[in-house]
Amino acid sequence: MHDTGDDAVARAVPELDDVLKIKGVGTAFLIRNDGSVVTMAGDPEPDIGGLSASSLRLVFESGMIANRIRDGPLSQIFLEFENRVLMIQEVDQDGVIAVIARPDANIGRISYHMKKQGQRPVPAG
Amino acid sequence: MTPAIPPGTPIGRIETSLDWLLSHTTRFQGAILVRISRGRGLILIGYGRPAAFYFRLGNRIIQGEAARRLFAEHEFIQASLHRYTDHEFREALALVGPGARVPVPGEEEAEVPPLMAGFPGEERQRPGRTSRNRSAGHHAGHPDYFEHESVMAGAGHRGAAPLRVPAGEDLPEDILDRILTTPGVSSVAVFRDGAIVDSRGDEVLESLVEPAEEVLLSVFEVLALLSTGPLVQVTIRLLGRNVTIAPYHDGYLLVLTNPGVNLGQIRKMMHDVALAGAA
Repeated sequence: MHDTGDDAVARAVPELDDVLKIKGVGTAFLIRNDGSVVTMAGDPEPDIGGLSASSLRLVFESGMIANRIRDGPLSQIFLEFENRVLMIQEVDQDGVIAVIARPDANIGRISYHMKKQGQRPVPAG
Repeated sequence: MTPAIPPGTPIGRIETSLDWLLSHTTRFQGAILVRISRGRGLILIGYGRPAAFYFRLGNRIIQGEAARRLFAEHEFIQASLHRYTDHEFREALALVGPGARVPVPGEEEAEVPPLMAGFPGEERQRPGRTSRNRSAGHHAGHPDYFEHESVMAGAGHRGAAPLRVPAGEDLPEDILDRILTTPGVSSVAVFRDGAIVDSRGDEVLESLVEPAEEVLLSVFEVLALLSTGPLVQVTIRLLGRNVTIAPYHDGYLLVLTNPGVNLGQIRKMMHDVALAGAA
């Protein structure tokens, strides 16, 4: 079985709630750097543990690109698939916020709220 | 009416090689429905470990290692990925039967004879060898594992553009020139199999190919976990630059843009490129 994030209790994080109010946003979750899911809000994803692990890997690999290109640091990762988008952003030094939305969602607004969350520390586990 | 394997959750389609599929499904449990020429088949995968292979062309059935070899012989196979729960996976394994299952890689692989050259859908067995994992010939009463496929095609994935990773040779060079003239674009390249195929702009992008391919591996893991449809593009936004990776023909585009270019402009540019590539 995959890790489903036992501590992924829907704890109130105001910016996650704000993101979820944007039309087309399905899920938002906050991940600690150890891969554990701090909180998840919105539509439940069946394998949130797998998604958090992949999101952290993407942050790490994007950091490698940032190092090679010397234009860092990383600001945001945007994955666009045909039916959904996944946006990932580092929060402080301690974790990552990820948002899953429809491709027609307002990406600018989502980015704005993710940046706001990025200015807050990740809650302790 | 014959039984069908569970439909699972369709997560996307892709056209690529067996090696590529197997190396990009380490966190995927489910069925990969395969089309080769006029035949159809499937691969059952449990988190990176291929568990069963099955292929049918008309009344001819090929299974197990022989089916794996058949798939491996084709440079491109059309694949449709369907994520399974543990229960669905066990059900599918039971339905395909022991003949389709394959041993853990490395245990018995060396004993499997090669297929005949010009294989049309069946194999020749080496004399005196039993075939626990293979089956060739007519199986008129075999379950139809694919009868649900038309149902899945209508489940939100109809018309989904496949992510193409073929090995064609035609690269419209003017597409690179066109991208480079887009405001805010500083460099653009096409890479394939770890190397730059062609590029425009001042910057040397060779050093970005390896980490870009690592990024793509993780992107495919995400694709396997979400019901997303095929990849359109990935953009990594750095403080001083945007790096965009997008499938294009037989490889991937790598585009560097200035930080003033926003995501909307990048998305429009990549959509225009996709349209031009499809034309």
